[in-house]
Amino acid sequence: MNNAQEAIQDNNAVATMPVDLVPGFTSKQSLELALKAANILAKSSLVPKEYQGNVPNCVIALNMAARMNADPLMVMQNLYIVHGRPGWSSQFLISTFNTSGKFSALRYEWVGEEGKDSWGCRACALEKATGEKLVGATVTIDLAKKEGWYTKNGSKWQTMPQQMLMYRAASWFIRAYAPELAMGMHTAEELQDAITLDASEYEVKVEQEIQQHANTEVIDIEESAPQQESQPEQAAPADPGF
Amino acid sequence: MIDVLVLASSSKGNCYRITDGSTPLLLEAGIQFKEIQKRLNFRISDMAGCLISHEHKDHSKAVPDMMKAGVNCYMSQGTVESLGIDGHRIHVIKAKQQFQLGTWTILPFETQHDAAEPLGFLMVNQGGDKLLYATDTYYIRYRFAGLTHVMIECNYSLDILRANVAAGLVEPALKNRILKSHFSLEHVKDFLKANDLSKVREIWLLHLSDGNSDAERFKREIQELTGKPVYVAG
Repeated sequence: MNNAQEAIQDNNAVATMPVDLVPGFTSKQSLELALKAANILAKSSLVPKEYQGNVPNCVIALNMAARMNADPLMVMQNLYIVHGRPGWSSQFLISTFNTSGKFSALRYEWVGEEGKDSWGCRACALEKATGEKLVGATVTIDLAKKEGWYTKNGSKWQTMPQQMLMYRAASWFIRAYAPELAMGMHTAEELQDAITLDASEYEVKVEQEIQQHANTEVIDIEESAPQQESQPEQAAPADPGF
Repeated sequence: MIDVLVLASSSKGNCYRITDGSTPLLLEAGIQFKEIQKRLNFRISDMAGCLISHEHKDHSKAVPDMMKAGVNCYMSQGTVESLGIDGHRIHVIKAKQQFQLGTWTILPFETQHDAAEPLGFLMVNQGGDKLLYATDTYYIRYRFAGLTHVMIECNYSLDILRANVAAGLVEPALKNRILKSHFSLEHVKDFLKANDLSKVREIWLLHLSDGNSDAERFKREIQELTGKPVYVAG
């Protein structure tokens, strides 16, 4: 069978699938559809590199997109791998919440004084079905310091504290009131803060050795020192075999 | 004036051509000989010599062909023995015994790598340029005065390496090997801070790891630290 025939057969196979079928793991047909779509996406140079040529990753993204009623490419672009664990971008999680239809858009209530440890915020929103105001837990700079997020190497808490306060307050709120949206995953920023990569014992040992011996002696070329003559053979002809 | 041409710089192969305008030299021969020929416009015989830091293939692959082509190769006794080579084109050099090669005076020094007798090179030419070449070493024991050109390995960053181990991309055993054989960004910074860089005109970062480095970041951070032009080889 040539490529054109295969494509026609594939198209026919897709065409015979139920119209409400979504790619995922719910049935054989659902998985077949996911595989077909994943094969197309994996060949695209527009998807992030974690998905290029990686059909299984694409199937997972398609399944998530279907469950969240989101566009697969959007899911791919907003799912980050942090130290080997997947995490949503905070922006995406907030956007998913805002467009869920169940709540009003997230807003923030600020506490304390900007620049002080007491500075912080909490996220809030209205539940549309009941009109109830829902309020999340308060996140402050003091808390970020106590949890060790603020002082971590490369921490964004020091360079963009307001953004980090809002992102953290939002992710806590969403996990408290709409955990189904995050699908059990944390945000990429939370993973960055939570995963501590401690120095191994071996690392400490090597570091001690380096600190003890590195850059300790001075050496230099002696101008008057007797030198081993090693004259170059300038423009020497190639002498294969010698 | 020193001119540096990077033929290759990675764990797949290393080879650099340096010249002061009078004496062109090769540093390492860790790629296919044909590739070296091609990159040098088939003017291999113009090379006054080739310095080999150690026996690992990514530094020595083309040594037999270089010798056949009439290029003198300079390396330690440990490197010669590990390579199992012999011939009049081999010149055995020793750490802290300087020698002359054309217009270059070269002082080899010990480096710290999992090889038999690895060396780095401090090189001065008649124009007063002083070049440091050090690769495949997890630290340098020495400090150097009056450097004008620094060619130094900057293989990995500890935070990237740790993250790759956590992600299962790097085996812990490989991480330990890297820690004790290659120069990290953090230790390169310590080295540069410990040396007088007032005359340095160029810093070349060599032998960046494929998976444990970030060329843009390394360049930026070394530039910020030193205020010197920084080039990433490769």
